[in-house]
Amino acid sequence: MYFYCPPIDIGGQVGLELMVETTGGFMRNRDIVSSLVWLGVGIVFLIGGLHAGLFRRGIPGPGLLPFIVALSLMALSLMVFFPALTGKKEEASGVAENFFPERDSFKKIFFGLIALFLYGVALEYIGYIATTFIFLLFTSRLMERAKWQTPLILAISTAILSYLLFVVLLEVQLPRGVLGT
Amino acid sequence: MEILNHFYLAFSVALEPLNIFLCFLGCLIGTFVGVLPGLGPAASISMLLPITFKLPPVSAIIMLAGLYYGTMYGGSTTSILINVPGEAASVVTCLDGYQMARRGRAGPALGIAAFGSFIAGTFATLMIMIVAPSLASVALKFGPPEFVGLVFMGLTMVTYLSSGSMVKALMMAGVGLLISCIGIDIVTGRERLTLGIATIAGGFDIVPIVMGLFGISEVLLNLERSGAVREVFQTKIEHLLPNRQDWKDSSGPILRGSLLGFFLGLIPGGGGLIASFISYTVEKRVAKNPENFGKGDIRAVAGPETANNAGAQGAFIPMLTMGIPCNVVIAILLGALMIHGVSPGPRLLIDHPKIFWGVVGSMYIGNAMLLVLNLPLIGMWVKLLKVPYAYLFPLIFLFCLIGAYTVGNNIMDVYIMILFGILGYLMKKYDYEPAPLVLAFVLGPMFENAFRQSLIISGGSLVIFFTRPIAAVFVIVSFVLLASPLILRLLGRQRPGVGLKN
Repeated sequence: MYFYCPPIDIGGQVGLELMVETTGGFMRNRDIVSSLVWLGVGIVFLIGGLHAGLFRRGIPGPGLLPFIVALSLMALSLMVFFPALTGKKEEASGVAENFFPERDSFKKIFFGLIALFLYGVALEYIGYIATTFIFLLFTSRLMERAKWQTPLILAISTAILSYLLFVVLLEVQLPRGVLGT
Repeated sequence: MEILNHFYLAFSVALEPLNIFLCFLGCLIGTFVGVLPGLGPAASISMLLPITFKLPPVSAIIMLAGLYYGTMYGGSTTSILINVPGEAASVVTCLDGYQMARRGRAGPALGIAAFGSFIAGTFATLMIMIVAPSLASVALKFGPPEFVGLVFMGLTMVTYLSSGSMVKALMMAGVGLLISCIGIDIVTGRERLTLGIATIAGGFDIVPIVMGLFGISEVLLNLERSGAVREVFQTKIEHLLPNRQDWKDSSGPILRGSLLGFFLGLIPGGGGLIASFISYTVEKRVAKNPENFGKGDIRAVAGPETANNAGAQGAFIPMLTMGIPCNVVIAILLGALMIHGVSPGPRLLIDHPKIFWGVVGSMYIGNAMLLVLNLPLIGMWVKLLKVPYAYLFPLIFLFCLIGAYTVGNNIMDVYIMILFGILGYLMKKYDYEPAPLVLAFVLGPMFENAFRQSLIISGGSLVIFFTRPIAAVFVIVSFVLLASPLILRLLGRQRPGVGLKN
């Protein structure tokens, strides 16, 4: 018997047998990019902290802790940045060589995210049931270009059952929209 | 006999019909979440958090706690049957559990995992009853400087025990603290770090952050792979009750696993994965015939499975007695308590004894329920494994969306969750761990408050953290931990967390 199983995350690694050891240049570039981003974040909060005020009449002000933490974050980013730059990589990392593991990875992620954002937008206009139905119909065909029947049944039944569960049974407030549901 | 009074109080709350029902519901959902690979306890508890708003606080926590330790039971099922850990702490169980299944001993493997978990859970709950009150009375004497030291040490511990780079883990703790500072400053009432964006003036809520980092990002990572087709091991699951020899082999590992797991559970970042990993190493070391490990040795299932349960239960102690969350799930429970208007910390036992003892009492009941849920009903859970991920992830998305929306009936929380989902996805890609971020975020407001109060007491001097003895111990331990990667490198050794990578 076969079934589909996603690779799951186990706290920073990708599954015992899916581990790929790479020490190549790609990972180093990643550290360079990410440390610069965090350095930038540190600078923004550093300025924000200064702006909010470090001390007021000798009493620590609202900006003191953000200032100290931002400073530490910047220092730590540099501790990632420089070893990556000079090529001294201490710990091998279990990440595959390419950013996207498969050719259509980007497409799936992109459409998945679009669907999530649109759900938020549509929810307030056309209400819970309709939005949920369309959302599920679309996303359940994202991974497998399967037939329409199963996604259709899944979308209809989930939309109605979850509405009954959340709105009728648990009395959760969800937007009603123009359709009244 | 004080402990009898405690037992009476614990069960009088836990045995209220509503609480029994919610405990059962929590355990049921927990097992479900544990069995499903790709959905962890952190994301699922935050999804369910909003619907507990209408419940009394003790009932809400009973249900969410049940969900948490329920996942520890469920996680072993997939490890044993399909060699995929249902959640992180069951990784080690794959090693020998799956081999046992391949040799036709899936039944005893599942059985010992469930019984071991039950014994560990019950033992750890008993320990909570014994240890917590005295720990809380010690913590009551803590002033702001001691609290600062304690939180600082906790965060350092988490980064020290993280499985990747410690520098990166520290960075994430910093980012978590920074995010917690965004919004209204509690002391002066002034808005800060908001960049003028009105939506975030009130600060961030934990629910969208955790669901983004642990729910959405997880799905995104699974989505980009077509995924391997895996074989469910074709076997009849029989003899769920381990035989006499199995018990004889397992009694040692279960005993050691319970103790080890419990004490590691008390350390921030120590429970779950680390506890089960260390238990495996210990069992292999004390075994007379370690060459059997990796070939389906029941001791390698009994020990780690016991340890992760004891750890999950033990992790409640620092939260209930000091307000310190040891892992992300406990951090959400802490957030849940605060949403319900209960401030966790040393005063919890005095101010809300019913909550404390009720939750502890429910753990005895929950562990017994889980034994029943997991053994006779194992067939039902196996069927669940056949749900294709292509249909599962839209539902995870949906529950995250509803969960985020219902926190404050605000659509902005949905967008915040999606943004944190993208952040979590990128963090995973760039090898940053989300757990320190969440813990620091939760501890942030309390930490900052205590930090500023300490500086007011001392007149702005940082020396106060070294002149007060207890605070000094915490701070010094933290600095030793921070410096230890350097020291260990000089000695040619590695931090314990790093070993988990390989």
